[in-house]
Amino acid sequence: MIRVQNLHFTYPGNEVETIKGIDFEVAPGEVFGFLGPNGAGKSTIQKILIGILKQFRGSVRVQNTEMRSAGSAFYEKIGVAFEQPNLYSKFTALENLRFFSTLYRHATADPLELLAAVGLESEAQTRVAAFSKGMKMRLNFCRALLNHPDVLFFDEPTAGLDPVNLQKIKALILAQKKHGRTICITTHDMHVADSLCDRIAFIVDGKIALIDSPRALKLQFGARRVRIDFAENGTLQHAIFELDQLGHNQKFLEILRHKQIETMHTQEATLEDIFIQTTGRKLA
Amino acid sequence: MIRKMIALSLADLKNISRESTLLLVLFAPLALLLFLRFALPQLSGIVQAQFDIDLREYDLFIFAFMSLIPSLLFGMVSGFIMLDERDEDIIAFIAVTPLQKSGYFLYKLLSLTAVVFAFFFVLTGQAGLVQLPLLSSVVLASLIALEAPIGALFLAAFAENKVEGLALSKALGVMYVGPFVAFLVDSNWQFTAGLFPPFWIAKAFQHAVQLDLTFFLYAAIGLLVHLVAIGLLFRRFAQDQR
Amino acid sequence: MRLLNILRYDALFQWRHRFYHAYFLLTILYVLALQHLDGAAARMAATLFLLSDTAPLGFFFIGGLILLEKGQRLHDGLFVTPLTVLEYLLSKVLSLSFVALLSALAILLAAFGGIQNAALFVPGFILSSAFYTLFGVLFAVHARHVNDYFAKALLAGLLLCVPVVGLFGIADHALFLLFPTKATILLIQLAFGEVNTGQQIYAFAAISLWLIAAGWAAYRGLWQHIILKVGTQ
Repeated sequence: MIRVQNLHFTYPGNEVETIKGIDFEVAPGEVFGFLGPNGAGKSTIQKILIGILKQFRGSVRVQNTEMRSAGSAFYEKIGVAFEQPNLYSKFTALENLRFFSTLYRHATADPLELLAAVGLESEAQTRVAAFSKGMKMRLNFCRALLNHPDVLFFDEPTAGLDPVNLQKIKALILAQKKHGRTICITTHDMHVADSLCDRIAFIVDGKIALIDSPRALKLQFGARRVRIDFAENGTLQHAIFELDQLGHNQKFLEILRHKQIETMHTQEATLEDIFIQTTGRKLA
Repeated sequence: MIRKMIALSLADLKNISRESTLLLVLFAPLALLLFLRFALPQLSGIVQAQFDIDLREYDLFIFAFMSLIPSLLFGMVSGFIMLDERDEDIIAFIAVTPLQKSGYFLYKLLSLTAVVFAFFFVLTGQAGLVQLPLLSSVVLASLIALEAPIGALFLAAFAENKVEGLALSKALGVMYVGPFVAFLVDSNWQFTAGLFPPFWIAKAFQHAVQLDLTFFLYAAIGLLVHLVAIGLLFRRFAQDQR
Repeated sequence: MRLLNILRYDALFQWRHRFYHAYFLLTILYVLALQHLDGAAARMAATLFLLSDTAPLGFFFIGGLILLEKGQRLHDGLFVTPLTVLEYLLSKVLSLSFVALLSALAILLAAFGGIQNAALFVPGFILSSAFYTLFGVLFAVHARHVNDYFAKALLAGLLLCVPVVGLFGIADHALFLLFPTKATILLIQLAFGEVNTGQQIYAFAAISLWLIAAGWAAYRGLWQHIILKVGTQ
């Protein structure tokens, strides 16, 4: 689906490479996340993948198109939504979608159905100027789905959203995954990466520092332990146990049986911990 | 209030110099001055030869019309600053600072009016086209200065964004047929153009040299028309802001 | 097909932003003014109106149009679809030339009762109008604000206007032939049947060359300043 080999990229006029030789593959139907601080090269990689930047070295193939020669036909197959919505504010939601659908050759999705899917069906005739940021982001999301794309690219899809809209967008992305679409997400929000992505790549200084599934990473970098906080004689106590053979750990079982448990947490690492541990940098 | 306004002025000046808008604002009146002083006499000769029209008979009209141009230009420039800022939500930002929206617009409109007022004296002094009594000049400069906020408010009140502002600025230009009608149409039908504020300035111009009662009559009507126009536009504008 | 679609929406956009209304008003105004003049004076005034306002209609609006699209980040949405840069430019140029042409035809028909050489005037006027729009694109891609656009574009535009002094008979010079404005003046005067065959050939050749040059530069400018920045914060 996506295959990148030995990719190098330097912005015109710059001496230092922005992308310093990266390789990765994204399988069909996979949700792949690029995680990294601002300026690490996430957006540059995405701009290469969507055919905006073409003066790169190495090989980049998306849907069997060599990106150096990607033209109109390539854009029939992909959908892109950037962090900032891009819509005509003087046109209604429906007019915006109708307009963008006319740019595609192939049969496009029904704008009204798309609007319904993101909960904007009652706002179809409202001008975008009157929309909130969350509504604009959802409409922008519809825009990216108009052409039934095989591959979807989302740039910071949740930036600046309130918790309600954040959940809505996340659900929408997961629904697209169910349809079997390949999805690339760039983000510096590790919670988003954690909850949405099958695999993530840590991008630091134009290189991939680490690439794996969030689950595997958390287990690999975390401790296989559980911490229990419980009340004893009116004070809060805690105890830590190895996960292995936990069912046979008498002390653990005793606490379970006789103490009043307040909280219980496994000690796997968060993506943020792992990021700091492997790159020596903070995410945001 | 005053201190805050000075702070805003400085920010504006910085903006202007960085954005080459200053070039436009300074260059255009300068070009106007040069035209009146050097090109017009040349042009008069040619028009006389080619079409047998003596432009010197129209000196007062030409000067009246030209002296209105800076107000149109400055009005448009500040109208577009407001629209650009609205498109970028800067007005919303300033509204939450202590200065408040009304203070912000008062500042914009006052500074605009002051600049246009001052420029009129440069023009009368340097163009060498007509000699006006000082009192006439002061009255006319005041009226012309009030013209600028009309343009700015017209754009800010009726245009939703800068592109619509551009279309409306074309319509705004239509207002300036007022002086043409005042000078070139002889019948009483000319007073239908009194709906356009510049018409009354032009009428006052016709009596500015004599400085007679009619001058003050037209000036008074002009003042009234301008204030009413500004008031209506400001109300409409304030409604939009809510 | 894609071009037709985006053209339709560009026209709708311009209608919604009252381009047509504004030029309807101006057209009436020009016609009224022209009725007070006669003969050579009317023809010269009409040439001036068409040259200074109607033909460069696109030049006047393109700065605001591109800036507004920039502000609404529409380029991010447009250039990740099959739409090409060429189609985008063509649509802008044709939709704006259309308004200009409508206004020009209305002025000429209403004020003079007819147009001579209409079969030549129409394409000539469209070429001229297209040139000024593309010339504006060169400045629009750099501009940050409408005033910023006008400051730079008008100054450059004034330079192009040097041959206008020839129109008034103040001075004429062979070098004026190098200016696109000279070609435009002749292409407008076609409507009055005042242009000989040699001048016609010159005017069409010159405006075509200028159009190609401006088109190439506008295309490059758009790539460098808009497309490469797609998705940039």
